[in-house]
Amino acid sequence: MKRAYFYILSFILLVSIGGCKKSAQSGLDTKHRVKRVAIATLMTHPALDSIIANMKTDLAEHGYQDGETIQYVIKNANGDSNVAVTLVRELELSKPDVLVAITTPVAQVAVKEARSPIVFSAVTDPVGAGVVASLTSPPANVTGVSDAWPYLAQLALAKEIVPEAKRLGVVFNPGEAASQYGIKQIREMAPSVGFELIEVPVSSTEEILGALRVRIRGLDAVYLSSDNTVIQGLPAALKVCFDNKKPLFVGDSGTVEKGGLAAVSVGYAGVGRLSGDLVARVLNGERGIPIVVAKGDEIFLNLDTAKRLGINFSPALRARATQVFGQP
Amino acid sequence: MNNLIAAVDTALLLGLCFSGIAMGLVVSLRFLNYPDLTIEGSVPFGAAVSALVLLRTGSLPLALATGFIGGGVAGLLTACLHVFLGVGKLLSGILMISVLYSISLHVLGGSNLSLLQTSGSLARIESVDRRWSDSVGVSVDPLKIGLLLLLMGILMSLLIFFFSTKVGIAIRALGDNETLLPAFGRDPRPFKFLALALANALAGLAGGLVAMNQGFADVGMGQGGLVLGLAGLILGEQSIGRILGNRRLVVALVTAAVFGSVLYQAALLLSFRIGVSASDVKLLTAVLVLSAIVLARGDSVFYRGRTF
Repeated sequence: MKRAYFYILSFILLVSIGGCKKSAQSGLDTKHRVKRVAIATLMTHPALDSIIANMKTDLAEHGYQDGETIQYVIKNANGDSNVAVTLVRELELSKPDVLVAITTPVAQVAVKEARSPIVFSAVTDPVGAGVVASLTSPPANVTGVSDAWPYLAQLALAKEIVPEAKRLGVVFNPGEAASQYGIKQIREMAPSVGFELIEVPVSSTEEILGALRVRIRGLDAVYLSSDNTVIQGLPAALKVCFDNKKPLFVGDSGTVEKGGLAAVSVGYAGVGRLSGDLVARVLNGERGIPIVVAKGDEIFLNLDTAKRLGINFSPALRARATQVFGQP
Repeated sequence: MNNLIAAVDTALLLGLCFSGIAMGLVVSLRFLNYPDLTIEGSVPFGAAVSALVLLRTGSLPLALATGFIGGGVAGLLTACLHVFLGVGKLLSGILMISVLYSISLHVLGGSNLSLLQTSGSLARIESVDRRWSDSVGVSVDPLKIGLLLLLMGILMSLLIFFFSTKVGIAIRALGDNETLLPAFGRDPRPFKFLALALANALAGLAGGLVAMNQGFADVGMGQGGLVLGLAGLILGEQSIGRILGNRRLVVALVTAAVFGSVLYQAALLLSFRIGVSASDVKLLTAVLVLSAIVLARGDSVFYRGRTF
C-alpha cells in the first residue's frame, strides 16, 4: 500500500518519457508540399463546429484536399481557458503553416504564444480583446474574422415583426465577453429602433426561468443575447414566452431551428468560409491581411413558433428569409 | 529534443505560475485543517486586480503585490463570515466565491480584460524571452522562469520561516486540535484570520501570475483552480514530500506544493501529447487526486487527522 503510489508515479514518468519520444517521431508529415493547419478551439459547440467544418470545405474548394495537400490537427480546451496556453504551445511545436485560433480567449493566447501565422475566428471584438490594435492594420502574422452580431439589424427585425412592441427584455450573462460587448451595443441602438430596453442579467442557465418569469408581464418581447449561457438556456426562455405569448427573438440560425421566433444572423457557416478564405490567402504567402468582419444579413424564421404565438410573418419577410423552419 | 525542451519549459512556467494555489492549500488545508473553497474565487479576483493595476501603472511588482493583497482581503472576508457570523466552513467559502465573481466582473469592467497591448517591465521580459526563443527555435522562457523561481524561492523561505515562528506553530496547533489554543487561554480567532488571509493571498498572487502569463484576466479563470492546486499538492506530497517528509513537515509540504504543481503541468502536457482529449482531463485529475488520497490514507504524515 505504501509503495503503491510510488509505482503509479514511476509509471507516469516512464510513459512520459516514452510519450515524448513517440510524439517526436509521429509528428506531422514534414513533406513541405503538404500544408499543415493547426486549429485550437475553446470548446465544441454547434456554431464553433460549423466554423471548422465550413472552413475545411472552403479550403478544399481552394484546392487544399484534407489528407492530400493539407493536414489538420484540431485541439479543444473543453471550456477551460487554463489549458489554452498548453494547447497552443503544443500545436505551435509542430510549426504549422497556419494556426487557427477560434474564440476570444484562444485568440488572445495564440497572439501571445505563437509565432506561426495566426488566423483567428469567432472573436466578437478583436480590438477590445487586445488581439489586434486595429482592424485595418494588424501585425503581419495575424488576421482573422470578427463575428460581431448585427445587433441593429436584429432589433430592426424584431420591430418589423411586432411593430406594437415597446418594452424589449434582453437576457444576457454579464460574465461573458461577447454579451458585455453586445449589451453595450443594444443599449445604444434600442432607442433608435423604438424599443425601451429592460435588462435581465443572469449568471447561469438555471437562473433564466426564474428571472424571466418575474419580469415577463412587463415585457412586450424577449431577446436572447449572444452568449453561451443564455443560448443553452433556450428551453427555459421558450417555456416562459409560450406561456405568456411573448415573441422570443434570438441571434443565430441554430437557435431559430430549436424554437426561437426569428433572427438575423452572421451564419457561422459563413464565418467558417471567410476563415477558410483567409487561411488560403495566408497559405499562399500573403501577410498583413486586414480583419474581416462577418456580414450579418441572413434572416431565419420559425413558423411553428409563430403559430403558437399567434404571429404572422408578412410574405415580403418570408421571401427575404434565407431559411424558414417549421410547417406553414 | 526540441519537444522535450518545450515540454520542460511549459511545465515549469505554468507550474510555477499555478504553484501559489497549492501553497495556499498547504496553509489552509494542511496547516489550519480548513477546507477553504474561497480560493476558487480569489484566483480570478487576484488576477482581476493585478491586471487592472498592471494596465494602469505598468508596474509588475505593484501589480503582483495588489493581487496578493486582494486575495488576502478575500480570505479575511471568508474568515469574518465564519468567525463572526458563524457560517460553516464550506458555506462561507461558497458564498465568497459568488461575492468575488460579481466584484471581479466590476474590477475587470467586463468579463475579460486583455493584457496583450501593455508596455513596461512585463513586455520587456517577454521580448528578452522572445529573442531567446528565436535563437533556440522553440518557445522558451528562461528569464520568466528564472524570475518565477526566484519569487517562489523567496515565498517558500518566508513560509517555512513563518510556520516555524510561534504564530505559525499556533496556527498548526489550531489545525491539529481546535480546542488546544482555548485550553491554553489563547483566542484562536486571530490565527484563523491570519491563515485564511495568507492562503488566499497566495492564490491571488497565483491568479495575477497566470493572467500575465496567458495575456488576459478572465472572470472564469478560477473554475477548476481548487482541484488543479490540490492535484499539484498531492502529486508533490507523494513524490518529493515523501523524501523530505520524515525530517521536517513544513519544508516537505511547501516544497511539495511548488514541485507538485510543476509535476502536474507536466502530466497534463503529457496527457495531451498521448492524445487524451481535454474533455477527459478533469475526470483524470479527479481520479488522480482520489487515488492518491485513498492509497496514502493512514500511512502518510500529511493526512493525519485531516478531512481530505
